[in-house]
Amino acid sequence: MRRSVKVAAVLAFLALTVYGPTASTVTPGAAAAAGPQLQSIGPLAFGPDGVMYAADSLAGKIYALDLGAQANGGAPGTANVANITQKIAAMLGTDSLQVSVTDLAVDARTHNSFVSIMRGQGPAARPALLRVDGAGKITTIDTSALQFTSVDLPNLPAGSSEGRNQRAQAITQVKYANGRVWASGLSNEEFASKLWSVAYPFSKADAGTSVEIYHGNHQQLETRAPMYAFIPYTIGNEPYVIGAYLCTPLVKFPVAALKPTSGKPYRGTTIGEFGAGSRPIDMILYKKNGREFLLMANTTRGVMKIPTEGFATAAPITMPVTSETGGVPFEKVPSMARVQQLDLLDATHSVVLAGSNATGLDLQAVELP
Amino acid sequence: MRQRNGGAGTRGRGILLLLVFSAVCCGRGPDSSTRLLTITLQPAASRALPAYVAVSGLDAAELSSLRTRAATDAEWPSLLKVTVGGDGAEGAGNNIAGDSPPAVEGRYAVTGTAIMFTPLFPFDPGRPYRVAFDPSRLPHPRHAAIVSEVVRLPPVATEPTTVVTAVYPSAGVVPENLLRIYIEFSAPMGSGAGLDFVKLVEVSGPGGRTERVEKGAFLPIEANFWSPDHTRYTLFFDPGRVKDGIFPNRQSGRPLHAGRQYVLDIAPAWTDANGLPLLAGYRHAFLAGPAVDKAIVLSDWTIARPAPGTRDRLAVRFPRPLDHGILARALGVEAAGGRRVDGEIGLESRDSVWTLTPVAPWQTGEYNLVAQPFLEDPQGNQIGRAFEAFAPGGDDLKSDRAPGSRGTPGNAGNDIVFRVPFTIGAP
Repeated sequence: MRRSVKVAAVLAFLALTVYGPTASTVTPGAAAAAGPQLQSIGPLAFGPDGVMYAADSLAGKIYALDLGAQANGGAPGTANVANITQKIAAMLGTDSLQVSVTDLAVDARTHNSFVSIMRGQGPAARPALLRVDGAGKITTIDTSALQFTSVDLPNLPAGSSEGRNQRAQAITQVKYANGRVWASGLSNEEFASKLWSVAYPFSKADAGTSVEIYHGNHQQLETRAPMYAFIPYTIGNEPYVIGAYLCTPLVKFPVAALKPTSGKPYRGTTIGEFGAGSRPIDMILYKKNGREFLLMANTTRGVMKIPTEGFATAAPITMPVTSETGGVPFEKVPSMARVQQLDLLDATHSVVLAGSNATGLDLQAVELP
Repeated sequence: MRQRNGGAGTRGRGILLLLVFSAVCCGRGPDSSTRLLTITLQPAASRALPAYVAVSGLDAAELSSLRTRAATDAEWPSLLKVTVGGDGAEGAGNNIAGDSPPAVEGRYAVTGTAIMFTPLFPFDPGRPYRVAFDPSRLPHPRHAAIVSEVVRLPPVATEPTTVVTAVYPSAGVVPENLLRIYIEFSAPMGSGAGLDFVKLVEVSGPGGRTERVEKGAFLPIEANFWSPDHTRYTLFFDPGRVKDGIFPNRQSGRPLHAGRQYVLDIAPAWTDANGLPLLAGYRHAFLAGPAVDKAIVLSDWTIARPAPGTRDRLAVRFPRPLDHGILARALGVEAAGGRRVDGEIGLESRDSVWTLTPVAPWQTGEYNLVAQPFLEDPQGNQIGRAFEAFAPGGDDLKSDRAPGSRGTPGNAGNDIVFRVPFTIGAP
């Protein structure tokens, strides 16, 4: 950030676990540094004032990037780009099999889309960030020139320095809401649901908070299934998080009720079952004809449109469902097929990356259903 | 890594490619138009100096006229353009400008003798790149045809060598509610998910000759489940099917059924970090046993204590195997005052024995075996907390990680750490 980082007002609604002093590379009041040393990139999210939050799973960090002049200069909007993965690959000197898209996010100021990718295979893969403008022009962002602040995700303690630590984590979603950055993640070892949040601007005083959320599927059997995608949401002026888990459903939980992990695990309230054998990818909120909807992309079950008016009053699913789906109503959006990444473009359109890794992904602006 | 290896290999073989073209003199240009233009691919000199393309044969005046042009100026690709691929007609013709195919991004520089192009990402070993130079786009144009040539670094490897070295749990019998499997490789693998290359096969019938693929056994997810060095992949069973009672489980049942024989079949097509397939496929056979759905109980562990004054190993035996990956970092030993005992960790008896061989001899006194709260068995059960916790009547979940065993929960970093005291040298 070009502006100096100020100490964040600590929001009182969270009194959760505070991890050790791994916190931030930025001291209160210090100016942001230039040139983040990204080891990986994605997922992405935009916050107010065009700050881009970029997760670096390999480094275990969340970066706040000031795109500066590189946010501008393109035609407003996002134009369709057929087989964008192939074009990006060619620009980066390789073929599309060497390009893994990690996320897609829209800058609400310009409505340009940003695509994060990893170029290459295995431990040699390197991150890249690209902007797509309203003329379909793809521009590589020179991240080495960006101003940034960052915060470290809490690391699980190692029991012994001599043991071989093969643990890795994959951050599955990053969002900004109400002065905090939120992140969900998965580990390649322990199977646990953790949702982590930290005040922004980042400060050394706040290393973030982490809460373990049980997946209250039918009240009798509770598991720690990881949350994959989520979106901050407000019900009756109260901040909530709406989350989607790996193995079933839509869950809501009030932010104010989250408690530290020491002691009681927290349980979300299941409000929807959308079918198995699929995982959520992205969620966006939008309004159409006076109604609000949650649009959720899934791996094998396509895109679902869920009216949100039932979120406040939906009866918790407390019994094992006897059909494949249940809870809040939803409808499938068959016109949006093979969606791999989804974000809100503007009041009337979403932008998606659709296709397959084998044949390449198309960037498309799609009218909101 | 791969690019660095490629550079190193290239250094040993000398400069790869040379001249490609001699400019056609049309008789109207300056003397410089008769100079030979040469395109070379210079191998990487170091990690900091990756391979680059150089165009030489330009005279001092031509180079000088380019020297003020910025390294990333949009004009460069119309003069010197590098594109992916060496086949076909791309790059040829009368004009190299335009976006199709897109130019490889990079930085241009002018030295005393040449124009240099260094790609934003190092050139891929073995991949062909077409380099085209259009003399007519020099600030003082030469009336000459486009120079075009295909260059490539030598491939890092051409023959498959990577193999599967181990699968965990390694026991011949695993619980039917198994949640995860680790697959270890002899060398770094690519970034692809394992789902396309791994099958769960149920084996039955006389001689085990009947094979049936259990579809939908694994988590349909392409998250990065590789270890940091890409030599271990974590394969998660679909938790929706493993978890008792929820719809996918009720609909399709668990992927594994106690009493049945299975093979984890790993296809050789899975590619390593060099893009090469495995040297061979791999089949890991096992029998499914009854589910293990109980928490880990510390009081069930036995500690074989070494004698004081020795560097003999401490051995902790569990009544059932714990998670191979997590065990390596979730257990430790501390001496009086909380000082960590450094040493070498070992896993034995198919992950049901953990050992510590200390760097320094054991001393008579009090010690603690320290267990981190994230320790799990391969079914996801933790200390004092089963993967599937029972909370009758919808009551709030109890804090079921309180003591109840001889482990004492402590508080470190706001999470519970379990300590099991033991003595060395005492009766």
